[in-house]
Amino acid sequence: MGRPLKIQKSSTGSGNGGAAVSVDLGFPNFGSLTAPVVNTADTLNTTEYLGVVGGAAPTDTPSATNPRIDVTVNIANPSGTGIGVAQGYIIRQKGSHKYLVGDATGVNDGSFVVGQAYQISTVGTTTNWTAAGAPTNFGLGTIFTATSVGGAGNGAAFSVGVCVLDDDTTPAVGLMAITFTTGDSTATTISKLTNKFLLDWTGGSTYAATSVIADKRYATNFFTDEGTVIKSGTTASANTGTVTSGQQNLLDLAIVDNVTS
Amino acid sequence: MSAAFVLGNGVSRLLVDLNQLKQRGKIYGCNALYREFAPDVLISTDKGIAQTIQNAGYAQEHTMYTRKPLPGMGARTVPQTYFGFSSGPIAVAIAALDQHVAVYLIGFDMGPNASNKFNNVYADTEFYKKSSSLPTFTGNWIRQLVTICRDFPNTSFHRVMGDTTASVPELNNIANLRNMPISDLLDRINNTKDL
Repeated sequence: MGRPLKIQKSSTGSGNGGAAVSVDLGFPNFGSLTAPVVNTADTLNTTEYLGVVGGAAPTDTPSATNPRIDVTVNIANPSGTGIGVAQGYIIRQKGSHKYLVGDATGVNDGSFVVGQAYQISTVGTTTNWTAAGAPTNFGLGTIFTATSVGGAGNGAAFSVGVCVLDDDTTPAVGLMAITFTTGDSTATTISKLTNKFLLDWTGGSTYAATSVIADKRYATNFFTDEGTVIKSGTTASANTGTVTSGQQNLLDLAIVDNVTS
Repeated sequence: MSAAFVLGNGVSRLLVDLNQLKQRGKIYGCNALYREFAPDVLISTDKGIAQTIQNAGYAQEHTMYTRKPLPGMGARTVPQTYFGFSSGPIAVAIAALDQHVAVYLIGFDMGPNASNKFNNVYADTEFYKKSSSLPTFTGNWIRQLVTICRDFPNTSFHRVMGDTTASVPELNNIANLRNMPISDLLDRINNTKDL
């Protein structure tokens, strides 16, 4: 599937007990490069970068320089019906079009659904997380499958599930949507997202090979939709004719919908 | 219902006196228009400017639509049918949903300015491209307007054509959309003729 989406997470000092530091916070920004090649419109500043990082709610806080991808999810619950369309976040990539995602609508202790996966969003002081199904070393961000509805504690969690990208901003059960913009404020859904590129649904709203090869590729980022960049491995010559789909030499930049706080 | 005026931010709309226009019908506008004029309905979909508008408290006092309103800030969610559309086309759709019989599109230039560059009243200001930038791709806007005209066959749409308004072949053969010279609109507004 190519290079998967980077997800921000913390390292505890290479296993030697050092302080936790965020890794994959963002790609090397242009200020840290010796001879950066920027987009043709030169609209990226020294703190910005090309590519996207998924972020990792609820343990990290997004910012203007390190946003989090904004996702619309409809996670399936154990009975097979959907939890409902809600704002969510990516936890990790599971396949070319498939992601482990969280539903940012909090579920309070006492309202867990047995068999449903959750990610702890508020540890609280009175919730018995192990009784609810969490491991003994639980903490903020721990993912567990509920074995009980919980109690009357003050902890909370986000529902977690696997969703597949869809060409619909109100996705059906088990599906999700991420949108991007390219300068005209139209929100277009993404069919595939890696840490460098996104593809739209130009070829058709299916994952059939005949459709996928015609999807238009964009260079992803969080900051600008002006100009183009050269796709690595291509001739870098101008796109011939009216290229609107498939592989291109020069990629338009696309801003992946994101949250910054 | 009476006429509605939907303001795009192409420079051709600068010829129109908005205060005078307001006497003749409901006004729908987009994005940075709020800096100088409060339309009856404001639509803003780009996250940066939409959040700035909401944080300024505008949506608490005025009607505003955006895709994902900030909690408690007063903005409304864009109708789901047109959720992914751009601000201008969404404004047209909401005017039609509000059951106006005649909807006038002013400043929907969809082409470059006189210098063949980015055509926007607010070029060179925050959240907007430089005036030296290339014109914005208009394919999505055209497709969205065609869809809206098809969705509201009983609404009469008038695209007001100024000096910088591009002729768009896809919009020229729609039964309920016609081009209207800006001189015609100004005559009707200035001389209080029927719309």
